[in-house]
Amino acid sequence: MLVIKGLKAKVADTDKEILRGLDLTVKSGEVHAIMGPNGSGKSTLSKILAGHPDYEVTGGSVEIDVNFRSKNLFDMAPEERARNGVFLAYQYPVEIPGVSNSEFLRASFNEICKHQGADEMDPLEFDDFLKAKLKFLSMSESFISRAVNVDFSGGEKKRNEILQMAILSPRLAILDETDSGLDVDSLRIVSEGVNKLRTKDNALVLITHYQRILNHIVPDHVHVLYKGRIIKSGDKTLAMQIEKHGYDALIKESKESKESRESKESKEFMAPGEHGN
Amino acid sequence: MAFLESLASARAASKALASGPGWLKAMREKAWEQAILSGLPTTRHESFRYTSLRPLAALANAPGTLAYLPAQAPWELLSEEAANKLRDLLDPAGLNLVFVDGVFVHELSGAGPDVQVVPGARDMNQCVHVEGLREALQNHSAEAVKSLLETIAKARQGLPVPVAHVAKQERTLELFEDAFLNEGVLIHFSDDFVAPAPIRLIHAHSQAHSPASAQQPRPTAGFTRHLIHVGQNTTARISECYLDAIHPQAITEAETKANARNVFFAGTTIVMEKNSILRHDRILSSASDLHFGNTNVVVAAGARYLSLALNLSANLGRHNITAMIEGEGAEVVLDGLTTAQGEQLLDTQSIVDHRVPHTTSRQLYKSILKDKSRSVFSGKIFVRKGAQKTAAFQQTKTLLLSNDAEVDAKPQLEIEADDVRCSHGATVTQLNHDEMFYLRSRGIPESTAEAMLCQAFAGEILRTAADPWLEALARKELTRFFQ
Ligand SMILES: Nc1ncnc2c1ncn2[C@@H]1O[C@H](COP(=O)(O)OP(=O)(O)OP(=O)(O)O)[C@@H](O)[C@H]1O
Ligand SMILES: [Mg+2]
Repeated sequence: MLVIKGLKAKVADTDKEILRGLDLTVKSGEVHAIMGPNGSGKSTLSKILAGHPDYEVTGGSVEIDVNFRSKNLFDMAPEERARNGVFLAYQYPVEIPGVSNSEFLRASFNEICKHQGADEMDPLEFDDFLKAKLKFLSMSESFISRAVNVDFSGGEKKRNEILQMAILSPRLAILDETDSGLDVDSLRIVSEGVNKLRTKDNALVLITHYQRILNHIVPDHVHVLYKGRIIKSGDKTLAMQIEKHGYDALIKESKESKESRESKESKEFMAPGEHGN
Repeated sequence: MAFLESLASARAASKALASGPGWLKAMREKAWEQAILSGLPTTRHESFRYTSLRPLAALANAPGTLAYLPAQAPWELLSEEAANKLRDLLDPAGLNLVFVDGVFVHELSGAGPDVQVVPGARDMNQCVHVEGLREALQNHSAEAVKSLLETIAKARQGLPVPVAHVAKQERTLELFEDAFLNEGVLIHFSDDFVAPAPIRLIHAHSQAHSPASAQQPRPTAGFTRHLIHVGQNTTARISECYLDAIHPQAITEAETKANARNVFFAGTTIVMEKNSILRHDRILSSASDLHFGNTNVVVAAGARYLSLALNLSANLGRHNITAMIEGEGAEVVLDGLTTAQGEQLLDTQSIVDHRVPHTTSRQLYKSILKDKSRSVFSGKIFVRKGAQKTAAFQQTKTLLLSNDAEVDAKPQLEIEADDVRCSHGATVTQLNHDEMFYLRSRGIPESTAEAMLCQAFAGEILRTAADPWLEALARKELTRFFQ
């Protein structure tokens, strides 16, 4: 469903490199967890997948399945990606004063409907649909009349992201630290919600710092992102190992392997007789 | 030919302006002579620095002589289609007074059913006197007209030196409201009364948008003057609408570039008695016209004047609003929204004069500018000697949707008292790109996202509308703006 190869990216209009050759493949029905120390590029990866203009892709490729055909993700505008099933639950959801949550959700939902050739919903119909989704996530109805994310608590903002996911039922959902800031009960409710949205045809990428959410939503693969690269991949036990021992050992191990790889490479490239000069 | 000359011949040809009581003829004559003596301002004059009157000259030079409106009973000129559209536009909830080319049209005016019978309240008909100005000038109402005019003239004479000292040319256009005083309406709200419905003054043009007609219509100059008196302890709503408007499509680029064919001068004079409340909404949406509005309000003790001015479209539109606060405890709120596109220029000149202690004013003017449009705002606040405990705030916020659009905002505070709270501020922003991205990443196309954010920006102002009908109309106009 998603194939990322050698992805390199920097902050647009600067020389600041963030992703330095990242590979990741996600198949339908799978759950991937991406972990990694602060500042390693997790959110940047997710925003690049959504098409954020702050970043410039400088190398590599991202392919995504659209109607059983693989397409270059970078050929699509952000809104097209969303309509084709890419969804990002933001680490820091944006506040939009003056735009009501219900107006926003309906506009978004109807764009997706339009794209799929389904009938758009009028405000009354949508209201009922929305109320059902709110119930599904144990959210209060007062959310929908308020401005998008404005004065929402941290946890409420995260829930609002998952509400959007529930409304849009994306094929590829990337949840960027949705668990951070959720209390124990909210985490359970949100995780249960997300689990109910899972099918064999969609896929989930969870960016997280904690094992906690992975107890509810069990990952098939766990990756560690460090300085813009995946330095280690494994199964769910990798997350447990990180929870216990932190990243230090992993980073060291990867440095060593990188160094040995590089020194091996340099040896291979050196012509005989040049040793020691 | 220069504009004033062509206006002079149009004026000379008018029988209407030659009739009326002696004091009126004298007043018109005096104002006109003053205008001729002063001449029109140029961009060298401070308050017209950004507002060139070249379109007025172009109007005078357009083919066909300038016609003083009404040339004939204008509602007969209104096509059946336009008349029907006007009727459709009218909401039954309220008292709708329709003016075509500035002339009060009984045939199209009327009250919705709710206005006649209001359970538990005094009847609108008993408590409001509404009369076409032309008729009023010919009967005993002329005295009421005279006294309102005197009140406002006296109040204006009391404006402080910096205003009085502007070059005489800068006041020329304002003199037209007296020089051409004839059409309009006289509204008197009696004391101790809560008006259950708004009174709407709805202006349309007979020749607006007749692209089908091969022959170019003559350029026209129209004038209207509304006189509004709000009695003690009375609460009322007035909605003033200047529309060309009766076309649902988006304004075309050609329209925003074409030379204007019409100029309209709209004077509104309001006298508010003690403890009265007037919520005054005003909308200008007349893409191809030149429009000069001149609103003057005298506010007595304890009274509250709440104004919403929506300058949504005009080839060149200028609105002067002057609030003179004459009694303690009075409050003035001026909110405004300007939207402009193409090469439109919309200009607001506000003056709030705090003459006595313990009064409050608050102003919030927003603009949304596209293309090469421009908005001008000049806001003067005067706090007079001894007007202690005055609170006066002024804010302008502009959203620029294009690099070629421009805003010129100029606050001017003259404070002669020491125990006051005053502030002003101006911000200019572009669309927030994180907000744009958030919306787009949910499938919403760029243009819709832009419109949503602009509507949100405008919403803070639109929400203050006293008249839901007007608010709905404005929202419709805004939708066209964002198309
Ligand atoms: N728009 C930007 N401009 C400048 N620097 C940026 C920008 N976006 C990200 N960065 C930098 O890139 C690096 C990676 O940031 P990113 O937000 O992707 O990290 P992260 O892995 O999500 O971290 P965290 O776990 O703290 O959320 C950081 O050093 C950050 O400061
Ligand atoms: Mg992050």
